[in-house]
Amino acid sequence: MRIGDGGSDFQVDPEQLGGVAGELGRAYDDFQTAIVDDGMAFTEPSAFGDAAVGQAWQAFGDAAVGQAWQAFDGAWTGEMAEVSAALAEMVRNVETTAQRYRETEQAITRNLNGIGAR
Amino acid sequence: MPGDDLESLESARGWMQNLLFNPIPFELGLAIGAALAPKPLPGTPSAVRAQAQACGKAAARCRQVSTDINQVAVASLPSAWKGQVAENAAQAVSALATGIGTVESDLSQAAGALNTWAELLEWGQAKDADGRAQLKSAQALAKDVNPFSAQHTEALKLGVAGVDARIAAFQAIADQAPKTVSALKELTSQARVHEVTTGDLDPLSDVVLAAAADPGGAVDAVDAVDAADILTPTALTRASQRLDAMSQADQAAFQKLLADAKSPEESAYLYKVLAAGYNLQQIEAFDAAIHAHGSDTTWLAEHLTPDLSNADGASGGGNHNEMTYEGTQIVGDRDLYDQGNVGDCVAASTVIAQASLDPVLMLGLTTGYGQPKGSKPAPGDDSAAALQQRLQQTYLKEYAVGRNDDSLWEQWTGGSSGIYPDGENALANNLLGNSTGTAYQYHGLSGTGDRQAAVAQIETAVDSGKPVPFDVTNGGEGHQMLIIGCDGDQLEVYNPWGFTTWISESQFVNGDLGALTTGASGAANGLPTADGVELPR
Repeated sequence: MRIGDGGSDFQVDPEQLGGVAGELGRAYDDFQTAIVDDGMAFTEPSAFGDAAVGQAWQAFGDAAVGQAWQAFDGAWTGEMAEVSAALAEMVRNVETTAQRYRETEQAITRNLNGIGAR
Repeated sequence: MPGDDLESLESARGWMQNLLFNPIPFELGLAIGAALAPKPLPGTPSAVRAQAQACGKAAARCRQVSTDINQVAVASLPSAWKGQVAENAAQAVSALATGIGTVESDLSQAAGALNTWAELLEWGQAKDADGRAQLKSAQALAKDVNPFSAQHTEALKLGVAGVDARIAAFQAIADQAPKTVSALKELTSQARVHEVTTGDLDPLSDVVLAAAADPGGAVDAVDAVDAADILTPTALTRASQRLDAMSQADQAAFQKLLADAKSPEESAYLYKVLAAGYNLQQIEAFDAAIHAHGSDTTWLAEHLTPDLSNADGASGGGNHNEMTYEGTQIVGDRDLYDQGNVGDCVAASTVIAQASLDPVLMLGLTTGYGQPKGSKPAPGDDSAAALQQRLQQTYLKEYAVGRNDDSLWEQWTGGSSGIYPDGENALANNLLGNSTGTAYQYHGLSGTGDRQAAVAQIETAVDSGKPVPFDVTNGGEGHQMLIIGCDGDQLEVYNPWGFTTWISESQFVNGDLGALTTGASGAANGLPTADGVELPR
């Protein structure tokens, strides 16, 4: 069932919107995997051989390159966390919206049934 | 340090060269020892490569996630939900797709840079190992040998070959390191969402603001890589700080303006105005002027940002871009943004730099916003001719300011003389300091060393969204231009004759900029040498 008359500016299909929330939720899960993928080399100390984890940049063999990498990694780790939080917020917003439209739809149905029962 | 090691190796090589002509007992062994003294090239190429693979893997996954989310924005969501709120939601989802697309692009480019570095490191270490092996063989041959014997000559030649191999390895690393650093810094500057540091906005708003971009151009005025972003990293951070400093009532009022905006682009321009130093009342007045056009992103871009874009960027093959406004490049007999016949290049370039940072100023230039009734051109006239006239008025007004602040003014006789560094610095601080929240400092550039040192600071400044004015000369004439973007080892320059051009960093460093100003009065071959720069502190 769609709320709206199909010809106006507003129209919603709560069930389909719930499906959209599901699509975004799966994208969120995939993005979490990407974050883990990106961090893999850092969380695996052996990847840097003898270099201590805290000084992983030594693997780069040049202090300036190592520091530039650390800055890049810090910035993008923060960026991915922010984007992840935003994606989670979007999933919640769409879920909540779909749920509220479902509740509205149920309330309308109850009212209509009530009218029919008189 | 590799630089010190390289110097030691070069010195050892010189020592050996001398021994070719002046053999001295025991000296060869000492020279070879000096060539072996620098430790082997450090680093773990396999670890760098592993990180590159991790980045590449994450990038591939992000590419899919971005595609999936974009599909939600353009298909699934509009199919399930229509209406104004649904459109806002779709724009937010689209911003997420863009944000994750940027993650993908940057991780992918970082993977490329790391692989290149790993490959070079591996080659360098192998070359260095070969060189050390040759030196050790030479050392064995040279032990207790007569300096006038054939064995000594053989040891010497082997030693020179060995030290040459080491020098080649160290030199290759030394040459590539700044390029890799520059590439990583540029990619780091693309991480923009986390620059929205305020706790007063939700994460989704942060992403939407950071992703907002003008349509049309592919390269933003002060951010050459990212496509036409409305907010630079500096603007994102500065607006966040200013929002945090507002009273709760003002914060709520500002957030309502953002919430009522008709598009993410309108929100981004409000945030940019906040970053440029305006208070809530001024921002509300600005929004009242643009809100009717809030969903017309082309109108917003044309009226609120000078078209400093260069469609393809340096890496895309684009090189020269004549600036236009609503498709118009020339009004009368002159380029629209051209400084004209007055020696006000400093004012003209600095005003355009400020206009790229300050939408209120740009709206004033394009529409007469904020100017009193009776002004000419009439407020509301947003034609190209009106813009040109207002630009000339503003250039001249700031030119006068720059000359009054010039301590050397009394030496000038008027007419179309230019502005000395004091006045130049005053304009940079008046116009750009307020918009960026950063003080500018003049630095004279007296040689290639100075210019090479300045390049790194220039890159950092423009990556963060701060334009950099610089002066060129042929020893007599002088001219000011702006560096507004960088892309790899290329710098994007705005010339206040009304165009942008890409140059290489080596052109800047080596005084090969004449082509930018060919035809300057009294300087048929242009003004090739950068001799001063205004750098943000």
